[in-house]
Amino acid sequence: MGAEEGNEVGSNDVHRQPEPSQSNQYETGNNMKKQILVGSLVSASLAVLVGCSQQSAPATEPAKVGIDPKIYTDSLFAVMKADRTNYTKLVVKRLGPAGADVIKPDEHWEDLDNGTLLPAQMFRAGAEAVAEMTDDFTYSLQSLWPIGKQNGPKTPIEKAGLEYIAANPGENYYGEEELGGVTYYTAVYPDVAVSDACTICHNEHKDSPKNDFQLGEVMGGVVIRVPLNK
Amino acid sequence: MARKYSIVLLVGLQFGLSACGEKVDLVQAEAIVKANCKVCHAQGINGAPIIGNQKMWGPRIEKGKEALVQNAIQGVGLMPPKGGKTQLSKEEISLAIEYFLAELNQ
Repeated sequence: MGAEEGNEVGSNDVHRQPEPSQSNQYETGNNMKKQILVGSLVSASLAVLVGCSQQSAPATEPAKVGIDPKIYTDSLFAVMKADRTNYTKLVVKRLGPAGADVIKPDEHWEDLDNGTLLPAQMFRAGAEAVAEMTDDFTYSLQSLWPIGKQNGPKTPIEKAGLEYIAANPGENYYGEEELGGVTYYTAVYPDVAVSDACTICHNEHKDSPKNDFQLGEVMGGVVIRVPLNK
Repeated sequence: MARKYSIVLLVGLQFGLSACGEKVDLVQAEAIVKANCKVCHAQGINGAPIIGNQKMWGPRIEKGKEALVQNAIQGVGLMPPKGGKTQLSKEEISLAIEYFLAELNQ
């Protein structure tokens, strides 16, 4: 069978509609207008109904999406770590005695005209500022050997975390604890003696319970706590 | 992209040389890192390049392994000489660098 023959067979297809007469054409036009009108009305009604139902009660609630608390606390710690590093490198080292020598980083910075906070103090100041802003998370710099007793662990998880990171250099500690009827995710990250300034200050401080810190040693930890919705 | 290739090339070269010449004892290297370097390099404390983090190690690797060893010995950025572990020998520091490079290939 040739191609033309094939087309011919196609043109005689039983689904083909007969040619309309002139009157039929008028009726067909009217019917078409009616169909369009009815169709438009139905469509408009449906649109209004759908719109109303969406306003009053959504058919399905959007699924709640949460972030893994570990990723959340790790991310917070990454920002804290970066800011602390930058303050140490770009301010203290650059403008302090090792650099331009125009500022004096000192524990008692408020007593000096050109005094500025030590990196650990700046970190703590950030924690206090956040505590004034929100209860969504808290963070603090703590130690098993704090110079100020208020910076020691206050909960069993904090103590366990500080002990773990001291015994396992480079490791973090994660746990859950219930405080005041609320369950918290608590993460503890190591705080390391990164310069002589850290070890000398702590080892020689009259209130320090430990005086043999060495460079590279875990001196304490950053405790980040977030409430869990359970 | 070019940086990624240079990391792969350098790490590959390192393994190639190790295979031809003296074998790097990565078990010993890991022990050195764990005892002396991990506390900062696991976390990126004070900007320390994190173990296995290609983005952080990329620009450093471009300087070559010997430069990495020298930087570690003399101190670089906020890192004190030998990371404060002054008892470490040049050979031990070199092994630690081998471990850091090997971890980039994991």
